[in-house]
Amino acid sequence: MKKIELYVHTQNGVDPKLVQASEESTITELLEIIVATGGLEGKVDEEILIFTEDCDEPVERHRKLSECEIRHRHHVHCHRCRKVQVSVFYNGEHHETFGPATTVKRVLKWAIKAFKLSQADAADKILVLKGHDNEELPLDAHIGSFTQPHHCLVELCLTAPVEVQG
Amino acid sequence: MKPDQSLFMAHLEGAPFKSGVDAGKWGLPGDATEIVWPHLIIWVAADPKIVPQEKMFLRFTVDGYPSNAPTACPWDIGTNAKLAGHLYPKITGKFQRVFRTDWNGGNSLYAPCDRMAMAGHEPWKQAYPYWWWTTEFTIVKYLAFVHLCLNPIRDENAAT
Repeated sequence: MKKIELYVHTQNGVDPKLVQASEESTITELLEIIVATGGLEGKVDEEILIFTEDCDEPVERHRKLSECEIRHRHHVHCHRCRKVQVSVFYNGEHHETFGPATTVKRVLKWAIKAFKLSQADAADKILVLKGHDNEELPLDAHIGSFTQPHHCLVELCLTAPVEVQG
Repeated sequence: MKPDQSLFMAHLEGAPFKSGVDAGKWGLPGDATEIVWPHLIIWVAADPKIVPQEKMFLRFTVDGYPSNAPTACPWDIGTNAKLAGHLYPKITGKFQRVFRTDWNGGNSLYAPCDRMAMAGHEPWKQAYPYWWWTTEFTIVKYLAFVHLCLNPIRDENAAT
């Protein structure tokens, strides 16, 4: 059986981990591999869901990776939240729910549209965690990586980067 | 292999570096086995409006990694020498001073994660805590910073 490597994102930090699995592994077997390799703490329970990148619905546990079109070096996300409530603050506040595997890039695109920014105003906008003005969220990070344990929400600010000077 | 080199090579094999390679954000121009420690060249993808070749090559010096922050010099891989000043990226906005030719002879980036620029810029530690190099960082942090500088338009539908 062909072995593939997958980037696994979780709630435990922004950086993914590389996990090796067979493309014929089921999602349940993938979860067991992730737990066995330290990617997730505890046991595989029914609350843990796996999402493919930028997909809002979890993949079914009994399916094989190949059936879910999960291929070599694809990104997946393990999370206990089916949806993440995202609040973005700018000159007001907007809310939306996203799957945990939603990239920051997609959330930024939504936020720019929600606040009706002109193209010029949108050009240098970034997303930061509320209260952490200097920490630009990487565009390829997953929004589920920024939730706190047992919470399915993230508060963000739309802002411009701090200038490097001095 | 010394510990600094061993750890650096391990980070090149790690998921954060590899996912950037897979995403076309950065990469090695050659094979990792060709690295002549403590120097190596890594390219970073750039907006073609900033770097027409769409890749910026940087020659890194990484001795003492990660206790010592890396330092990097814009590089011309054709001549295997420092990039000519007129070819340095012309960036506007918040990161316009990162690729300076009027500071330190253009030998390093004016960045909070570059060891040469960190010296004498201690206030940056408070101003840019996310980018101020610490021993917990990996080379990916530096590369991510440069990638952001060279790709200032985060949403491709925004102004050009």
